[in-house]
Amino acid sequence: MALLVGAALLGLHFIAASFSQMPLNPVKLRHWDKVSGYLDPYFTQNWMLFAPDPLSDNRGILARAKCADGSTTEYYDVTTKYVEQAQNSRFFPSRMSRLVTGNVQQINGGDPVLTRLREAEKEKKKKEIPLMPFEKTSQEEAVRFLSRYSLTQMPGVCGGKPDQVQVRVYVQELPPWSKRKDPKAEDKVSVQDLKWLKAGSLL
Amino acid sequence: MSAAVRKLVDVLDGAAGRHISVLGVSGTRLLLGFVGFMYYASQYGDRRYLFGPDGVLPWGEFTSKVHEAGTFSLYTVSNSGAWFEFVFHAGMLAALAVTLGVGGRLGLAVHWVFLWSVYQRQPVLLDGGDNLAYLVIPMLLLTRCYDRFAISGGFAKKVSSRVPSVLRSLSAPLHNLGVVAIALQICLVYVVSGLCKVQGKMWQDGTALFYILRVSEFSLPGVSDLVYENDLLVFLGTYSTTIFLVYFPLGVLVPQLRPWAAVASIGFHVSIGVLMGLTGFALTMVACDLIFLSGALGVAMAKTAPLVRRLQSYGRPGRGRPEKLPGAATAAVGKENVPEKV
Repeated sequence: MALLVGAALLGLHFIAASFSQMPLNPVKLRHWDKVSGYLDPYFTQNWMLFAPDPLSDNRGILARAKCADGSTTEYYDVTTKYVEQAQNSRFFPSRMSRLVTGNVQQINGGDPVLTRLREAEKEKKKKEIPLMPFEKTSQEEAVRFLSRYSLTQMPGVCGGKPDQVQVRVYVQELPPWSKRKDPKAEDKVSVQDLKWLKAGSLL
Repeated sequence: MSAAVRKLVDVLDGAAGRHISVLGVSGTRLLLGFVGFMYYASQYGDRRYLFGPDGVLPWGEFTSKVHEAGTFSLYTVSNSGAWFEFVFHAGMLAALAVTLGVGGRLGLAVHWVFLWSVYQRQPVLLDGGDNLAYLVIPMLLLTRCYDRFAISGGFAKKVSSRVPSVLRSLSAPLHNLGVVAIALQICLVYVVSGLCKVQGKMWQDGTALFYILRVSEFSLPGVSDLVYENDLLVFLGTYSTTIFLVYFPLGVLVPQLRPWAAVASIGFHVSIGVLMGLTGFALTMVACDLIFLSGALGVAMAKTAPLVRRLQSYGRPGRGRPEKLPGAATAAVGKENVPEKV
């Protein structure tokens, strides 16, 4: 008896878990709230793992500061150090590099429904859908985090008293498969400058 | 009673009376405990920066995020440095206890609470391995995962001998449900990630591995290039990954294929661990695969048992183990080898 009841409950649980992992479809859109109400937060899961499109470029940040006297510093590389640390160990390597990559993703990535809608609108050459309030908060959080992180990674800047900090997000696209043997193939780098933030407001 | 009904009743009786894959889940518990311990250990030097009250994610912001998500974290209790150090070190000890097999399932529950707390403290560090760990530990709580690979405590035995027989009769059904839950969970992980890959262009083109292994965060200089510069390896690696993931449940359903599916999975994840530097993720997956390898683990242990005994008696002359042990060990292995309904 206990076995049957348990098996039934287990079945229901895994129906909910599988439901949460389906691609976007009409049934999922309608019942999503109920299912995530049951799963979140302790049974939340995401098994997309490098799919459908795996990560294929290097993303990171540079940062610069404005000092009290109004001068602006050079860009500091606040990413590479921890990526190298991760590369140099194969036994539980440091996860520090994820502070940058995770938050860079949070700036760009978002809600699957809105992404689809935006793509459709773009094809129709309509005006872009503005950011939803929750998207704005999540982006702002990531920007503040990256700025704060950058400040901690350049401790000597402006004699230790920077007034403002700015983060530059870069995406380095490596040559595609078709050009893997072309010695002249170059990386494509694009950058996005985030807004200046007061150092005092971050800590 | 018709034959079909009798067969069904037999199956149910079997599932309600016999504990399946005890050795396997004990291995899962040990390895998950170890990965949890290493989560703390590998970030020990950076702990104040990553998780501390004055770290890179300020305590106030962290606390409001936890409340917003409607969950808990022990790190929200106080913003004092002493409390932080206490929770972090207690969590580390709890993980160690799970690894060594001390403290029983209560200890495992305590470990989950600490682990969830530290995960919430800096969620950006998490990956699929951590996600699987926090899902599977509650399922392990149903199972007799401290029966093997554990420093047996007299206290636990004393407690279990006083459990009323009604409750004790629930032990086998709960254990078996726990094992089945882990099996379903791991199948869900593999099938979903396989089906998602099937939809991706780079996976279809057979070049996904080429792109992933070049990303510097996931590459091992000097080794990854050997793989991604070899067209055949890229093609084979990309397609075999997808095929393996999608068909994993089939391999698990057929008892003869089961150990091979598990071994393939372990090989796959060990290479991910080495090439991509995702040790925690890889070992968490391997830990869950162990539930399918209970029989094979038993055979391996029986084969190495005489060697281990010889080594032990060599170290302590005159204090050899009693002769009873080999018999008990083979008996246990025999039980493990009965084809399992998972």
